[in-house]
Amino acid sequence: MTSQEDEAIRPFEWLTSPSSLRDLLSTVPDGNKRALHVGSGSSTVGELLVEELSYYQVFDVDKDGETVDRMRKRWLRRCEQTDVDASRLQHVTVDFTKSKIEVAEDASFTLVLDKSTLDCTLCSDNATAALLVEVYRCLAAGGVYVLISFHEKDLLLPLLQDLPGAEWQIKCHARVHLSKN
Amino acid sequence: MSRPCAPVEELGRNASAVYNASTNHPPLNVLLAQKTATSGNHELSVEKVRDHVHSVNDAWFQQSHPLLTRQRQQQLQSSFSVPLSLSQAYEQLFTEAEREHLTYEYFLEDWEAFLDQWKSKNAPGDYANGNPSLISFEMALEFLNEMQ
Repeated sequence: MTSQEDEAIRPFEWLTSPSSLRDLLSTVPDGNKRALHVGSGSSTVGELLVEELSYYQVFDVDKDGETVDRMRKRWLRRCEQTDVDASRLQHVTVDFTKSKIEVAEDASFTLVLDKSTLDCTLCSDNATAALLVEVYRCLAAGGVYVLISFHEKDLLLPLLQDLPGAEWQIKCHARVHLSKN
Repeated sequence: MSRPCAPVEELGRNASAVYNASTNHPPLNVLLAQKTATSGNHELSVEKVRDHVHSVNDAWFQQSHPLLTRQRQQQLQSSFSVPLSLSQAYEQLFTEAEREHLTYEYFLEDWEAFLDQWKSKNAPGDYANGNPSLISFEMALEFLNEMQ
């Protein structure tokens, strides 16, 4: 791999670092520890979930196919240097506004992680609706959708709490500081 | 907002112990939605969810937190005493915090979309000084009204 290609897959984290989420994600009920990271981009949270938080399977999902491919290559290279089973982290290209995540069965994830992806969709009612419908479909009974957002809780709360047809219980950590480093 | 939220468990300050507090970054909100459904129905209606998102967004951006407050109108009246270029207008229309989320490139996209609509309702001579690259106070107000 050339240094130019290395540069192209340098991870970038929106809002907060993977390590800052360690404590938060450890409060999520254990279950079978299967996670879906929506709008994963070039974030390495999926790697943390597998390597440090013992998730047996994680899906990193994003609509940007090029970034998804690069992150997949990065992960495979990483697994060559360790004894981690590469299949535990899958990188999938999906645009929620156009299709479902085909590899994700209904109610099959104990954790759905959203690090500012909902924020990015909020200027489009269609994109937000598509995201929330897919998040809810994928979430297992007892599973948790973790939404990390720069938006005010007074906007986010009614969005989730009154979501038509959704049966879920909301908890809110308002205005917390998560480290970007 | 169409109706008030039911009480929600707020973890607030207690939650701070969970997180690293030593940071200069703006605080974030973390919401945990635990699925309680036992019915086996995991498909939500896209149309109903879209309508819901639309009404929550409208309530927030138009009623609770309008972009175009009276105070902002007064400020704009002063800063747009003469028509401004697009880059100057961008600086005046949005606060520093807003510009963090709405980059100049996104603003230009929004402006182009706005201008397409505007052209259908106005004559070419209605541009500020007859120049489509300038934004007058009236156009700025109309743009912000459309944006919110």
